[in-house]
Amino acid sequence: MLKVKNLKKTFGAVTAVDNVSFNINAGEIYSLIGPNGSGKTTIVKIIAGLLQASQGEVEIGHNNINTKTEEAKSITGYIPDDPVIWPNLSGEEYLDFTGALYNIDEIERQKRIQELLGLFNLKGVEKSYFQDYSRGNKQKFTIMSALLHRPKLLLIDEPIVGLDPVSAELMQAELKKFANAGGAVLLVTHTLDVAKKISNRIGILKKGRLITSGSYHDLANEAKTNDNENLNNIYKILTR
Amino acid sequence: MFNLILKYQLNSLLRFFHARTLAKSITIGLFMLLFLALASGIYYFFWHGLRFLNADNYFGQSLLYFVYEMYLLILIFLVAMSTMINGLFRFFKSDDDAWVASTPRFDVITTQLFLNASWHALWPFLIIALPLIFALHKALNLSLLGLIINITSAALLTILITSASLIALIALAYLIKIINKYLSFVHLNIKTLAIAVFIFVSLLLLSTVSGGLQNDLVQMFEAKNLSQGQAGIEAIIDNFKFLPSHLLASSLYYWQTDNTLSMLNYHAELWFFAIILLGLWFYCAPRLINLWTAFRTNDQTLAARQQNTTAHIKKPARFIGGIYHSLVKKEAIVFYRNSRGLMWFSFLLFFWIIQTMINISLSNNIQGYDLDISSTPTLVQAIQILTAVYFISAFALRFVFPAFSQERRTLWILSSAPIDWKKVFYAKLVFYNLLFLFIGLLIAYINLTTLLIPGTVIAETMLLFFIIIIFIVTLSLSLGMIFPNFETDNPSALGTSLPGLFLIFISLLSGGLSVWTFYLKLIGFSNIYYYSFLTLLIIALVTLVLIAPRRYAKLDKVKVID
Repeated sequence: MLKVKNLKKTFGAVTAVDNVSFNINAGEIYSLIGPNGSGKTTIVKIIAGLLQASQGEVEIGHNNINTKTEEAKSITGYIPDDPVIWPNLSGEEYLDFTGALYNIDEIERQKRIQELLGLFNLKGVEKSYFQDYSRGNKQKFTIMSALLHRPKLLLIDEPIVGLDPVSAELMQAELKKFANAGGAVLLVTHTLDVAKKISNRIGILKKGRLITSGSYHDLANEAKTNDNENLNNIYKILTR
Repeated sequence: MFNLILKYQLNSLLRFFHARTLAKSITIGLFMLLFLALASGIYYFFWHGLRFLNADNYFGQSLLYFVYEMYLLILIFLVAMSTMINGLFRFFKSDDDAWVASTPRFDVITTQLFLNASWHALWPFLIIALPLIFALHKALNLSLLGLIINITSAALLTILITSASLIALIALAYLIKIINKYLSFVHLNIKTLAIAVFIFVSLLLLSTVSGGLQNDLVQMFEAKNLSQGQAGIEAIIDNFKFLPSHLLASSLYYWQTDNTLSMLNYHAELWFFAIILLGLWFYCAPRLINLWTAFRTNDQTLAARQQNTTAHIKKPARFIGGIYHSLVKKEAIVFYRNSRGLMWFSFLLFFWIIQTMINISLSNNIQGYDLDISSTPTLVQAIQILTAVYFISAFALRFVFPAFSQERRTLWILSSAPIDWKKVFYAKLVFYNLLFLFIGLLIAYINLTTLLIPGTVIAETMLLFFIIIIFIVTLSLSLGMIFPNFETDNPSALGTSLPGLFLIFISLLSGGLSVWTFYLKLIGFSNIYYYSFLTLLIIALVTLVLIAPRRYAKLDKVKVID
């Protein structure tokens, strides 16, 4: 579903992403972890279309993001780390607007909005302005907007920051459900427990380079520990 | 405390120059030059104008007095509006100083507020008041003592208006707090305060303007009785005596008539009122933290309450009818629900409406006496186009130019959606063009009808307005798109960037050239310049529309740190 090949991004003299390649198949959750400044967010933002790659190629469902941009974006849902929306739109209006951007039929859009509001337990607050929402509710609305058009690929930068424990559990369950239904997920996170719990594969970035990638078992082997070792320790060993 | 604030402000200034020092220094330098050019233009305008008016034995003295009153009215209005709008949002809305409120030095917030308001009032003082005073000194060869006294008077007037505006703002906030105790539907929040400020300023302005409009200029200058040798000033004093600017205008008048004692008298009054109001502000300021907390706490409580009730927006917007329609609708909603933007919009619009009302009043006054004005419309028409270009440029710089940079933090929504940037660009273009064409053409038409010119000439002038408005809006949006700023979404900071400066320059240049070529056409000199210029504008317009979205699509839209 997602192919990233020899991706490179430089900001002046700084190389933020250096020759990174990985694939994510349908039905798979892939987590990218790494220290601050390792290039995780940069990779997600390139795939989401907020940044231009200096080199390399990205394909989403066989659509190159530079040549078939609209096709690639129409099957992608993006959840940023900082859920900033126009403060004077209500949550419901924002979802309706996003639905219009993705060309979802009006009747289907309203049905889907109600369905998601129910799922995320936000019925009754959807008519308030965004500026009045808590961070958690803002985050929930961005998650809903990413799911609204039933994407095939989800790009998620820090999925549970700002969410209460119940919503965080719900989010993880939804991601698993999404993947089980054939969707692909790229997850960028510092919350290693979440990465361990829901990912099929994990990639570790360091100074812009993907130093290793594989299942939890593969990473444990590479770190010369066993599957019972917690991810924190594996991560420390591999990024040393 | 002052040391602390000054150190903080100085550090902020140094930090501003820390990155891209050369580019920022050039921008600041160019802005200084622009201000200097503007101040010099005003100076020379007054230098010639004051000498010309003063040469008239009958009108000379009184007409100059009238000019001071009218001109200084602009000064106090600018300072008052700027102080109230900035104060309103800085004190009751900005989160930047929230951390200061939690420290034992919370009173720094209000001192900072005053310094910030004074900083904003500095440019009207330097560019509006000082050129007039220096021109008066030079044109009429007046005393050096008077020059020093009147510069001080102008500074005192600026301080007086700044303090009075802040006190008025706080008084309105207190009033809302009191009303809120008895009438729960009057919410204690920024929106209610913004509405109160708007009503207060509107009433103040309308009472001032309607007071001035009721006066007949012929009667004011006693022009029916030229045998008396010199026009009196009583009517002028009656007309303006309730305004704070009257103190400085009178000081200037008595400087001009060599009446030092009266000049010093008005100067002393300015000292008195400035000290009283400044003292009052600094007495009240440390106690304002409660008001600050009350407004913010109430905003939060209200928000929390609204989240548990069913509705905030009674009739939510629906985005139907395709992507273009949805994008245009989003622009409109974000625009009209932005209270700060709307206040600045109303502020600029008010100015334009006042200028139009003065035009209508003068026209009615002239028509009432059956005066022959057949020789003047061409020139006045040209000046009106310039005025319209100035207003449209000011609107465009404040609202259209920052349109893309202000999307900075919400850009991820549009960037990740399957839409071409051309669509976003065209949607913004359609919205701002429709808005400014509606306002611009309506006000321009009203202004033109006061000139009593033939319908064909009105239609031709309207066509020029139409093209100029579209050009300025397109230029502003395109420049904002070609040179977006992903570091700030503050419209004031965005407008003072190098591309912002370029926009002002090109807007005013194109306005000036359009007026000049149109004037040449109106007086029958030549049509070729006018049509060539219009063709050039249209070519530039099409080029901008083609270039801007392509360039934007290739840009990185965010600053990344991870």
